[in-house]
Amino acid sequence: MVFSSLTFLYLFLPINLILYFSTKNEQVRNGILILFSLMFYAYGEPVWVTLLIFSATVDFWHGKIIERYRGCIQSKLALMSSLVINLSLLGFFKYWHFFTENFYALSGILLPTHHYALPIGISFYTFQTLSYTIDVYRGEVTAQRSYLKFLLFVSLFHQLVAGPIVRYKDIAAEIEHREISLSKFSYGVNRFALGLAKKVLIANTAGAVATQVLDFRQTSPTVVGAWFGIAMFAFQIYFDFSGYSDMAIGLGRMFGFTYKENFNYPYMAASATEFWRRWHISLGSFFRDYVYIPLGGKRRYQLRNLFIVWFLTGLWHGASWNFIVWGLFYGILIYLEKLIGEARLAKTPIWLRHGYLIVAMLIGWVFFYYESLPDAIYVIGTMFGMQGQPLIQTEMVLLIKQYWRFIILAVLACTPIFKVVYFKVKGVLKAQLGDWLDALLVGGTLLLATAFLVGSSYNPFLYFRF
Amino acid sequence: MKAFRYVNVWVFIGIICLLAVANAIAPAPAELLETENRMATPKPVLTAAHVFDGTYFGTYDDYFADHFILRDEWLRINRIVSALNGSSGGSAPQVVTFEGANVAAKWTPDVGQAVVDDSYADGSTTQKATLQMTDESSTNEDEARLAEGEAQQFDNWGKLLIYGDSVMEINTANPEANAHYAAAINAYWERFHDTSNVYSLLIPTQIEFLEDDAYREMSASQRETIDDMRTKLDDGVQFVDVYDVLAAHTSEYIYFRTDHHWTQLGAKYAFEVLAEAVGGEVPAWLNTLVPVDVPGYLGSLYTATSLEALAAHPDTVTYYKGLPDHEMEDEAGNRIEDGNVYVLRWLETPQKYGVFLGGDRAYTQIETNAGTGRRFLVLKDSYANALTPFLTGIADEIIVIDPRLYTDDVDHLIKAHQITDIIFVNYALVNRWDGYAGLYEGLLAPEIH
Repeated sequence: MVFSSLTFLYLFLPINLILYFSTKNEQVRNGILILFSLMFYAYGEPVWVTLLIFSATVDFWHGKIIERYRGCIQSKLALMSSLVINLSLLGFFKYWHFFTENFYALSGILLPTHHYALPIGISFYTFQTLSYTIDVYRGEVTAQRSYLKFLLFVSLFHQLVAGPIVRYKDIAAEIEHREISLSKFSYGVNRFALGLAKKVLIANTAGAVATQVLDFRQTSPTVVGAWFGIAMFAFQIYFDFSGYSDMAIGLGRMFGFTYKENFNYPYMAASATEFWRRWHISLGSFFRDYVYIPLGGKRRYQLRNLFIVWFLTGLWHGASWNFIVWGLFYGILIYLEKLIGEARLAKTPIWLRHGYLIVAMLIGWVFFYYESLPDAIYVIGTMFGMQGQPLIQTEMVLLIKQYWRFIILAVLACTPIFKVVYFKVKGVLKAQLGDWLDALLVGGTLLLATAFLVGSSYNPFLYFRF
Repeated sequence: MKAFRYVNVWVFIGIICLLAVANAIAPAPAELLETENRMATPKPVLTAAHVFDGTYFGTYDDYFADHFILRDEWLRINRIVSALNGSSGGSAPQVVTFEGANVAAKWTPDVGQAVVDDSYADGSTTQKATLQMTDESSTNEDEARLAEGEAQQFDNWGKLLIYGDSVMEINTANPEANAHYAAAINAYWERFHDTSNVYSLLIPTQIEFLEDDAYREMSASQRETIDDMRTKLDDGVQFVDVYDVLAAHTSEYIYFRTDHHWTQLGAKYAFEVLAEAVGGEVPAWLNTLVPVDVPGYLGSLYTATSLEALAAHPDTVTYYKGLPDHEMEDEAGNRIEDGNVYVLRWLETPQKYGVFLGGDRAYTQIETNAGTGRRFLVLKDSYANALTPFLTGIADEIIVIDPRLYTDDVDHLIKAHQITDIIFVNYALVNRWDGYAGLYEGLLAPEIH
């Protein structure tokens, strides 16, 4: 199930909210959340919900063992075991094909393979449970005694499927006891509506245009077209992903959970290093805390560590070489930035640095979008006029004329300007009037999003296609 | 007295609860979605198998959306807002991609990329649809269909140009498809040239004659597409070139504005060329036909784009009365409807183009008193539907086969009905994708060596 769907908004969520708030008993509330979270997940993965439960159960026991035998060899073994099991699950379902393909290419030996589909969210929940066992091992958090509470942590539908990657220690207290308040709920509602607007109103539109322009069977490539198409994809992926995180954070707040921010206007960054402090923050910090720093960080073998981290970051996004290239692309840029040094970078004019990041980011997205590396290189070549493509064609002019208002909206939405204006206005208004403003925005978003969601199910049967 | 705060919360809860309750208790809407010309997705059957293979939940989403309360109103709001979003305002031209399909084949998103949520983890953000033709889908599903039978489907997307008050499909060149198409027709010539003539018509569409160069050039030249195909035809196949006659009459109403078809006036001009090729002359009775106008037609391209601007200027379907006596029958010899090639009840539905032959049917047989000794086999797409009525004057019998629906082979037909002329009729855009030729080839009985 996804948040941006009619079944979630008008079937799942109302029932969930009503049941949850119909009782003051925390145990019952937790039970309801677990039940609904499992149903939410099972809706999309009726079979592999068992895997989720398995993963949670395994790491619950691992956590207890690590804590019980702290300081002894069993603790270390349990940590190893957790790592092995979680990474094996991920490896088996997500990376096995990739591995066998490459192994075959290198050795000519065809390893046996499976045809299981990738269970939704496995990349998120395996990382989540891994962070738990590692944190327990490091003593940063005490192991959860209650199986149900741990299952709640793993299965919470807010962040299960699309992040943010929530670390156990960040919500450990709230798992035990949550404060519900109308003002928190209000914040949650506003945040959820914001995410819904970003996803349904902006991301989906940008995505439709991107798909049209970047498919070179449909649209003959031009220089402007390539930039335009990738820019649309950049909008799509940002608003889609950050919109999802907004909805997750908003939902969490409604139920009394506070999740950390996952995006911070990444397209405002002025360097690749800064970009990755603003984009998918929970993933970046996961790799920093659990891979980069343990390997030695910048103190020992920095280049090697950077290579490993960015290789893995790319690989996490997809079992395909283009994602690895995308990750390493950023790794190289970050390393170069470190070489140049912050002091010298700060001396270059901000617009130059920002421009550099925008170009780099768009090039990066080309690798992300096209699974075939030759295709990606072809498109990048087109972007820089190296493929002999025309600068622009009628169709692109038409598209720009059609979408210029949307483009301006999307660009502005990448900046904090709407947020600044919103808070200024709210600061001026009396509290209650401010609430009415929120109500207008929330209500308007819900209704518009509903229209778009119904609209996306519009599927006319054209009697005569030919 | 505490201030009443956070009305936004109540608005949110109010809307989601209100619509949830409304959906739950509202009486079931009509199962036929008129605006979309299809049946609403029926409530999926709750069985363990359906749950575990994911079809129950997947179908449930569709079911919920199709039965959503006030669905048509939401669609209207969506159209209006989308028009603001992606339009250049006013009447400037636009390009729209239509991921169109005859919803005859079932499709499911590619397994493993089902939900966009995990797309950032597994990388791909585009949903690819794989098409599955399941024969049982037509019998097990209780979806009634306006079309008889299931049309075969292949991956297609089409771009549309919205120009003024007209929508037109955009052509893309596909030399492989052209070659395949010609090869299919050649196969017929090879097999049947002892007994029958073979004709090919490839009909250009409206966008080819658009006067605005900049926009017409967005569409690959259909003159070139047609010529490319034509050069690959065997010398024995007679290519009937209707391009020039249509070009000469573009100022007349020969194409619909909101539909991808030509009007019967356009078909009439093409028929003149075909009649000369087949019989050497244009029949005199053609001028005695009386046009009957039926206004208020919003065609396929309106349905695909549902642009309010098009709705303001609908089309008129004109059919030509006074055809020679004829009887339209099915394979068993039973009369279809009242036997007339113009199936008038279609004019009362949104699908007015269906008046020509009563839609696409696997097998249609038209008997006449023409006395010319000619017996036609027409292999076609729906452009032929407007053309076929005129054939009643120059052939004793016309058999019309839709290759997407007909499951038998044509060899026995050609023999049994002593077919003198095999006529292929398609619009030039059929070869944007290589699929139709395969359908024609599939109608040939396997070779016996």
